[in-house]
Amino acid sequence: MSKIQTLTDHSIKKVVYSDFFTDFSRNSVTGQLNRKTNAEAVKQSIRNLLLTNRYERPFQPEIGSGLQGLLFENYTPGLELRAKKMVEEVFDNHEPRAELMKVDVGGNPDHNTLSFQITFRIINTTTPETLDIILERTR
Amino acid sequence: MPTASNAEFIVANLEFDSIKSNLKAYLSSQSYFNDYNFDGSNMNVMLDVLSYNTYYNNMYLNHVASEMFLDSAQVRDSVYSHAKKLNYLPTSYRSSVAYANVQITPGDSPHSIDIPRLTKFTSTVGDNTYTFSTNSAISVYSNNSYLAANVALYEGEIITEYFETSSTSNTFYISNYDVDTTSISVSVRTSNTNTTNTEWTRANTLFDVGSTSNVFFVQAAANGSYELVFGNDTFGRKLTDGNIVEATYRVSSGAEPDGANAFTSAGAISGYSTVAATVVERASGGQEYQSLDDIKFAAPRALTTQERAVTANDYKTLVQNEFGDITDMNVYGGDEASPPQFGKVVMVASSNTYDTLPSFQKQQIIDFIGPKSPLTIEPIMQDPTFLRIEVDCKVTYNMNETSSNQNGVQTIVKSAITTFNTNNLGKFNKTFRQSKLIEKINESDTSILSNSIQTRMIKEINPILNQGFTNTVSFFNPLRPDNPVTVAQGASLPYSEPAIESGLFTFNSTSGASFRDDGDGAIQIVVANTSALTILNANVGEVDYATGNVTFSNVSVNAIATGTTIKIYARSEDADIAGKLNDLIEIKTDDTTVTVKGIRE
Repeated sequence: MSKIQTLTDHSIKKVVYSDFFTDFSRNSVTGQLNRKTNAEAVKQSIRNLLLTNRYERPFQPEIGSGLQGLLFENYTPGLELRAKKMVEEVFDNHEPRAELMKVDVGGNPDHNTLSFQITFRIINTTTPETLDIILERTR
Repeated sequence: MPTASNAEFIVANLEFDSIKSNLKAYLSSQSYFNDYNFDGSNMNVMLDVLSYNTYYNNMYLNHVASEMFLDSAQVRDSVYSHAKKLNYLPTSYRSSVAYANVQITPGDSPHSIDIPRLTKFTSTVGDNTYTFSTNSAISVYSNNSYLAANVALYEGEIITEYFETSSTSNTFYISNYDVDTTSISVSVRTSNTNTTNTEWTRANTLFDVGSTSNVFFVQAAANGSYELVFGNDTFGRKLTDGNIVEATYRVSSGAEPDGANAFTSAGAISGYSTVAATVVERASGGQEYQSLDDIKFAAPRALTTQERAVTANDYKTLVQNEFGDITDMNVYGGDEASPPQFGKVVMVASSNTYDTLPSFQKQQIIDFIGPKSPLTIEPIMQDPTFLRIEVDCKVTYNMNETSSNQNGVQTIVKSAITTFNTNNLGKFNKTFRQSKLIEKINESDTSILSNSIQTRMIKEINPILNQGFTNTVSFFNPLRPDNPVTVAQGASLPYSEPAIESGLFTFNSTSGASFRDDGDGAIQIVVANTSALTILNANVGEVDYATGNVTFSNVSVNAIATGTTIKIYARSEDADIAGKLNDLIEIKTDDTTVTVKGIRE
């Protein structure tokens, strides 16, 4: 694992974290891949991790959250706790750049969806970042 | 976008993690996308895909490269393909074969009764019942009591497959991988409506095969099976469209039916149901298809022999390849035999089924190797002889170094001797090295301080009682004569250590007699009393100390003290004893004496 670089509010314009877009979108002028940087890059990473099942990545069975498997469980109060625990484990194990502050899990059983509001802060910054994710069946 | 430097890019790694690390190291020289280290980043997912793809190609190419060479190929089809290039046909399953006298008792009195080819018999081995069948038609006659002697019965289910010829192929795949390829017979009909079959014969080479020869070839095919290949009108007649090929063969159970020794006719023979089969030789010789390791060993060597037996190794390679149960073999020119047999090649074989091969198998080997031998050479088979070594071992051990008692140490030493025999002896052309055995005994337990060994060679003779017995026993090792003792018949002489001694027998009604040499080349018969030996006959043969040949001349033995054979003991001039020609050298537990002495130091 690489060394985490320092990201302060004062140096927010400095690009510390950078990743390309999931859809490989390109800059229409330069033709280069667009970048997500800093907080947006971390959010995209967390989203990827939460939507990845374990054993999905080759030779790295431990990466992922298992959240998608909950979609087929009966909706009970315990389900929310399990979902929350899964999010916490993802932050603990796979996202060293962010510190989880709060996870709100809301369920809408009638529409077979689980919604997450995740509040975190990037290490060495004070600004809370919010990530909303809705899990629903696609078919 | 800044580009990464490839100065440090390593391409030699084959594992997924290493490949991914290399890619990360490569990307570390740029800063445009720098999230490649974090598990959730798109960049990291992309590296997974690249690494997996690289790893996949590595594995694929590694397998492809391995299968390209005979030495490293693991897939049977690949090994068969390589063998085919070397003109080598891997050995298929082989049927167990038994020999039986078949007696038919008819209710009437026909002149003859036909036993058709593929007449079935059954036999049970363990819990399984196997089908055996004849391989050729036989007729029995009234003047011979309707007895067919020594009928070969081959194990296996008889399968017939039909193939219709088309313009696209003259090769037909045999559906059963456990086919015994020696049993394949082929007949061809010109069309589906024609019922006349023509027998085609199997050819193994292109010699004597012309454009109109009705021949087929057998070659290895996919899935461990075989296929029939027909000619092209240059070498062998070509099949024409619509021809129907009928292939009949046995599907063998390998070695499982070996040992079958009771056979029952599976049905009436030519309408006669009273059939008795008496075993002459129990079933043996069954084997599974050749292992990949065997093919890898044999295929290059078969290429060098070119299906011709010229050198001793040619004979060994060809025979051991064809007869899978032959475990070891020695081949030498008849000029080396004793007495010499010029113009012959002597083959001696040991099998994992028999101590000495049955006569039918020896004949099979001769029939197989004969056509491959030079014109003026006659191959003959001889039985192996056993050169046993009597070991008298004296061991001193330190009682402070072991919790074992004398019996325990004795058992350890005997076990070491047995292991030495298994690992070093029991094959042709092996030499017993006394110093090596002493080493092994010393190493067998930390408490053993020293050991000494005295050995004698043993061969057995089997004289017919009360008849003159003349024979030569060859030890093929120089013998150590004692000082000559020349005394008259009837006189007594002191005990000594002669080169030749023997077990006890009765001679001229005197029991307790034995052979020994006089130290001057003569074989005597003596009897022991309390303090000396009395000579009963001063010259019943001679011994050649240089060659190890012992000749007995017209000796009449009245009775043998123990068993049916007389052991002849010989002291070797050298500590090492070589097994030559037909001799299989071995140490038997019965011939081993271990004396243990414990001391404290």
